[in-house]
Amino acid sequence: MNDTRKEYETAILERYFPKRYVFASIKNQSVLQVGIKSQSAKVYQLCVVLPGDYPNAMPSVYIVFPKALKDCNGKSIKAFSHEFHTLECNKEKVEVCHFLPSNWNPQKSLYLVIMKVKIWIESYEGHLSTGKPISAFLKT
Amino acid sequence: MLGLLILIIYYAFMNKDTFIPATNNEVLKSLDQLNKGNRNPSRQLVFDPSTGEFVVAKQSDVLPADATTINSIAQDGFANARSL
Repeated sequence: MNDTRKEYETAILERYFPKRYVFASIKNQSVLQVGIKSQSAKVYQLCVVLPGDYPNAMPSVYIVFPKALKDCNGKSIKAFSHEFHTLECNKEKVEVCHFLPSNWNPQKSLYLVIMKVKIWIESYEGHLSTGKPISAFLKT
Repeated sequence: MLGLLILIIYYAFMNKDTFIPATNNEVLKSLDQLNKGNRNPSRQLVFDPSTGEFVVAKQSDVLPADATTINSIAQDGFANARSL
């Protein structure tokens, strides 16, 4: 991400997530770490991994706290699951699907990605309370 | 007694523009309405940057120009493992 783009993203994040985000470099990867609060006041930490050619390429988003989210039966959330809208999952993190690749373009911002994940989190908490799959709440 | 009445009226007017935080259930209902094709619900859920929460707004409420509604975020769909 070039400096101009970073200024643009920072201005939006400062407006909508003041003091709740930080840009960092982890293992030579540029990341954005964001703290999010659900409507039921539970706290989640996101790690948004920025590809080298961001914003032309879509970022990947991982929920890194709480670690290894569980489903309504107390089992680890399935990886690469249509029902859970997930990709890679392991003991450390859950990768969440957000934008449809066909809907991604450089005009989208990290703020919009975070908002998509916020809605995923609400759907996840809905899954915990109702037992319905996340796909019951999120249309593709 | 009169003082209490004045206090109640004061708070009623002071808080008339205060949005109420949405519950998780209200968020899910809003998503359900969107999934059913209702893109113009009577109550909108708007992201409040000051709290980091969605709040409930009536259609008649005047929202800031840069307000983000849950519909505007969710309406273009979500990816899943099959769509990637």
